[in-house]
Amino acid sequence: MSRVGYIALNTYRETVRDKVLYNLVLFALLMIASSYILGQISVYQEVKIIKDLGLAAISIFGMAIAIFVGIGLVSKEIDKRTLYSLLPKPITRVQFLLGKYCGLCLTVLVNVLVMTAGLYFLLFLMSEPFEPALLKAIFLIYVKLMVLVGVALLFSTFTSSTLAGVFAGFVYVVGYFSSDLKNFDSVVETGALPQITKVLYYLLPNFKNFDIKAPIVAGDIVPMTQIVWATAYGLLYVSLLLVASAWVFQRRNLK
Amino acid sequence: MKLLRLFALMGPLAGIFLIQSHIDEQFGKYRATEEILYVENGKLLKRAMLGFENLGADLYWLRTVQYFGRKRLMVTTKNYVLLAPLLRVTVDLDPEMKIAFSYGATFLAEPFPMGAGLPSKGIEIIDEGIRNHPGYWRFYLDKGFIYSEHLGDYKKAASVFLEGSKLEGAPYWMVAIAGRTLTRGGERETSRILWNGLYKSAETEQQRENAATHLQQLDALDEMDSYNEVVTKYHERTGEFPRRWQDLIGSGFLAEVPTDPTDIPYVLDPESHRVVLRRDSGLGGLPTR
Repeated sequence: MSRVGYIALNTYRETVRDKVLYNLVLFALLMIASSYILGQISVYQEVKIIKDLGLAAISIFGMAIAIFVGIGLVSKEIDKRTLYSLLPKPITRVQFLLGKYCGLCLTVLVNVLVMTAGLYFLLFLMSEPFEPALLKAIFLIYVKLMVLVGVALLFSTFTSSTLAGVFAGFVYVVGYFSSDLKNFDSVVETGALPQITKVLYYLLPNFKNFDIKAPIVAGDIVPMTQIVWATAYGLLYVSLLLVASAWVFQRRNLK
Repeated sequence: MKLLRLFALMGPLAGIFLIQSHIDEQFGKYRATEEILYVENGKLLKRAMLGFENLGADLYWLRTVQYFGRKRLMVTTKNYVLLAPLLRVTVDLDPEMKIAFSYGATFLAEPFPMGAGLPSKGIEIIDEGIRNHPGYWRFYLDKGFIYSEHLGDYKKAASVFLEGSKLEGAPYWMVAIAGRTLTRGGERETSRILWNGLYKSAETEQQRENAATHLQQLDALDEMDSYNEVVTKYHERTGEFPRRWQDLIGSGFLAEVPTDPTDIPYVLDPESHRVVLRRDSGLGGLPTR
């Protein structure tokens, strides 16, 4: 196994030992299960509510795991000084970062799979037929979480866990309003501001690209090409974040 | 010691239960009921939901059906002030929720106390449904229905029915309804055909029950007409109007006291000499149009 693989596996083992993670997954499963009760009182929309709440739980708790664990990926290693025992070994900083990133992505993937199983189990209990289309939405939620892990990792390389958490949360919120940045020229017509906001639009992650929950739950067909393009966007964005993280981390004075 | 601990735990719990029950019993009626909608702007809320608009729509939908259901049960304080804004927020958050458009249009347009008595609001919400789902025939049925039954605009209703009948999946009887509304709009039989169509295509139990009640109301109108004829015949034969059902039963005009479709006896009004519904009839009134 490569060095990146070892670090990834260790990061995965380390994160799954974290009690916070189990609490988050437990809450997510409880939230999915509670959708059954909400569905019962909703009248006429039982299945829709179960799907909506299930997908929302996967997204919300996946985000919580990605941000809360991601922000400590590097900063915690520095604070606990465990990083210093690794640096003399034949591991580059880039390999270390990549390993950390892949490890957390694996943790998030396992959690998403557990929550997905919970959602499908509930739908099975409701005698609903297996609906593969939901997997499309869940897949793009996972791609979104991969981007979010990258964002958290980037901030984790140069600031404290708390600030990294705040920044990652901020990026997430901005990522949902980025379309406003693109259309800023309709509000301000003169000056450089519209150009700046347009640059920001392309620079900041657009999380709306990964959001196909509504059409999937409504039973609309989401074309495969849309999923492919969104995935390509996500993977490219992840590579950009990893390059930026490596660039910052390599220049960081750890002495 | 164990017993003491158990008592220490159960004692306060029992006390809390007793005090809370007392407060509810004594002061519950003074408590303000929740009649506030903090955010009425669905479009603003949609942006603030950060990708969880569907979940928001579900929560507003839950609130809508519970609000409407609770209000319908209230005998004295029936009002539906929040029904329109709640539905508006729901459909703004999730325009794919077809049921909210249809349900909203039905119960916003229904005359008070069965609904909010706001047909124009019903048209507004169903028009938005049509804008979002132009190929969905059911919305045209709802819209045409409001024009015909609640606004009395039969020409407009017929054109809406006709438009909807051309859509994929539209039932065959929609064309017939269009023709009937245009030529004989306002007639009881036309109403019956419309309500039957709505009953057959109802998406929710509440809508089906509502259509069934209206069909029963039309049946009651038919029955009352026939009993009024009996009253007239009695008058022609005896020169007097019957004062109670026993007069008609005793003289052989009727076999028993007639009841409405909800099994509540009709009332023979001594002043107008007409057969009317009893106040507590399950029909909740009769159509005025």
